[in-house]
Amino acid sequence: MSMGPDILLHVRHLKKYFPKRRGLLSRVVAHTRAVDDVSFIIRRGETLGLVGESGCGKTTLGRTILRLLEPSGGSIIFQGKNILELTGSELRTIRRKMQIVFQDPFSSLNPRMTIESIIEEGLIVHRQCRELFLENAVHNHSVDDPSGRFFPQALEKQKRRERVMKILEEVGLSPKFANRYPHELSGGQRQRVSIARALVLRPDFIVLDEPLSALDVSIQSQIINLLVELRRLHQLTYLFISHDLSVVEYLSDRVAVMYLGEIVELADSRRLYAEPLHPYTQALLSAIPSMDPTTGKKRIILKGDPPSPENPPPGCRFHPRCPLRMDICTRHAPRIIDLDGHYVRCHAVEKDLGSKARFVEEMDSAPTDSVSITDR
Amino acid sequence: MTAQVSDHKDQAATDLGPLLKAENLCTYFFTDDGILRAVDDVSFEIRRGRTLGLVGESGCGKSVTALSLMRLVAPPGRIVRGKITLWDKDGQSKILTDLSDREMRSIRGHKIAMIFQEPMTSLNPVFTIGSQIIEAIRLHQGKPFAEARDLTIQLLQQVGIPNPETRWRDYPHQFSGGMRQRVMIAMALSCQPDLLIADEPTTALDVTIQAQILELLKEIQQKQNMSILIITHDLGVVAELADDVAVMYASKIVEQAPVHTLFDRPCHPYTVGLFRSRPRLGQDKQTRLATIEGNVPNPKDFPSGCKFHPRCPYRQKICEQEEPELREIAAGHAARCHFAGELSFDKLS
Repeated sequence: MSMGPDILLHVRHLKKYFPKRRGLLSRVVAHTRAVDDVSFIIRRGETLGLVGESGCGKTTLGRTILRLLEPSGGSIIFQGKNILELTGSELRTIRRKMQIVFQDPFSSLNPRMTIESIIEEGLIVHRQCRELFLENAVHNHSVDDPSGRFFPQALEKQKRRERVMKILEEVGLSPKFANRYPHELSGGQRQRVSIARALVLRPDFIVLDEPLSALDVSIQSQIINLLVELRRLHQLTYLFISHDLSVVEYLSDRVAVMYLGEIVELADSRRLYAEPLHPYTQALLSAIPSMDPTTGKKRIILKGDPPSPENPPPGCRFHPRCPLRMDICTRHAPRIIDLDGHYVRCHAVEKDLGSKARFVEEMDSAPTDSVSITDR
Repeated sequence: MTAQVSDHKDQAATDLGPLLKAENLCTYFFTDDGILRAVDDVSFEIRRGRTLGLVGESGCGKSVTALSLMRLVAPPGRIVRGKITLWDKDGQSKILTDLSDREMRSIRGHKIAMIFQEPMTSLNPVFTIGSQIIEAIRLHQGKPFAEARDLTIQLLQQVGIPNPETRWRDYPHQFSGGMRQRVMIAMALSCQPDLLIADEPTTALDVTIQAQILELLKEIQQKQNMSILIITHDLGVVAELADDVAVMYASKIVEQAPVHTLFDRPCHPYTVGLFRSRPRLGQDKQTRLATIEGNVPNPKDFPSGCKFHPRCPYRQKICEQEEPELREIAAGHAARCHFAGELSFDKLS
């Protein structure tokens, strides 16, 4: 399989199991399969939306990709390197390129640090300013200290400050915020700080883990616009995790729907919303409250709750809630069907397609050109 | 376990008279830092069998309004002015703001019941859910235990809890978020209240579960002819459930109208901003989302004049100086804006 130059991230058969321990000796009695055999590709400049209900594993997936959680299996190829095989300085270098914005801006910012020190922390850890300075300096033959040991600290501090101010401006905060503390800021402003912190290292890829759900409606749209603007300005690639389907549609080029640790459907955003194939996706889309009180929207109401990932049902994991359930669904897990880059895991779809169904081992295994990224 | 396809509620409701009326309600908090006007001069009416949606962002006073109706505002908060009237089925009225605490206790839970956003914090974790519902029934209706238990099982059945005969003995932690909210609804329904106050009942829930709960509320309302006051920040939920809507901003109602009118012809710039700032399905990705600039104002430090003016794209000189009145523009449609009815907004797509 070829790795095209436009593929930024390739996740293959990724698994994250959490051991469940019981008893006096804390023996592992079972595993919670939070992420179970997930594969997808994110192209450079693309935004992949990841939707699903709470507990489906979408946050775990986001964190596992960044190796904030150690995966139980599979591979994560970022810019051509399998980051699971990297250690030490190599891992550090690549980590700089991938950042995360967390859901709750109230708990993800250290209350004892000023906004400036929160944002510049990454620069200190990664010694970014010194490196940038040295790259230029060595290039210009202006220093004979390529190790950077004698890089003046005051200069480094000054460079960092300049950088922080620039980032603050980019996320729409005035420089006076630099010396404030998180508690002095509103929710929207805090989320801007979280975004600034992620951006300061000039990453290529950002995982946005429900960045809007803690914010007021009138503030959400400000942050959405900011994310769109920054994406254009820095050619960013996003993994946008959310349960808000209208926002996901607005922000994403492609969308993956997750249910109990598995991606059940993945397609171009326009195709997924216009023609959802998986019954779960159909139910999710029909559950969005319509903004029009006059239209009596036909709604598919799913019965029951999502089962616990500790003990997923046999066969198709969605079968206990599925309106299209057949006999086979309770026994065999459905294969992945590939309809020109629209991937779906469902026996009912398979039956509809009959002999025309084409199966693949993993989603996005054969990147086709049929999926184009919207020009921005 | 099959899917259920539901229709939108029947709009042709017959008017059964008023149930609750709040007039010039003011609830202030007397804190060390000064007086915090959480609810300021709020008036509305809930008709019998109808649903009022109270919409607003965090801190706008919508939850304090609900607590004021129940007379559950805790010190340093206090209802300083205003009148709340409740009518019973025979048309007899009671002025809740004049009742003693003891009389109020017989109203709470009995005539007006309330469900909250986070069901886990409103259920006691050390008692079984059955015993908590039975307690409410015995307290208000004085029924013997066995009868109350049977009623509890029946209620749990009604709100869609599977195997209620065994599950009433379970503790709250053994239920999922959606199931806990159902338990809360069962408890609220136990005394067949005339009014159910639902404070962000679906905010903590997933979309598919939200759809289930909204469906359940509609169904129960139709069966029991109960009125609902639904408090939410989600205009989608309002469109789904409400007959009338009041939009709150900075402790005051800024726009009030029947749901169709409000969605069709919003008049206050804030309401319009709320509508526009949500991406709609199928929206053009090239266009920027409209936003409401700035932040939700802090109740300790409200702006002068019209409280929305610092964020309003249509502000004029007068908006900074004079606070507008809630003015009726059409029958049943009122807005608190100097230019209500004069501003023309682009059609909301």
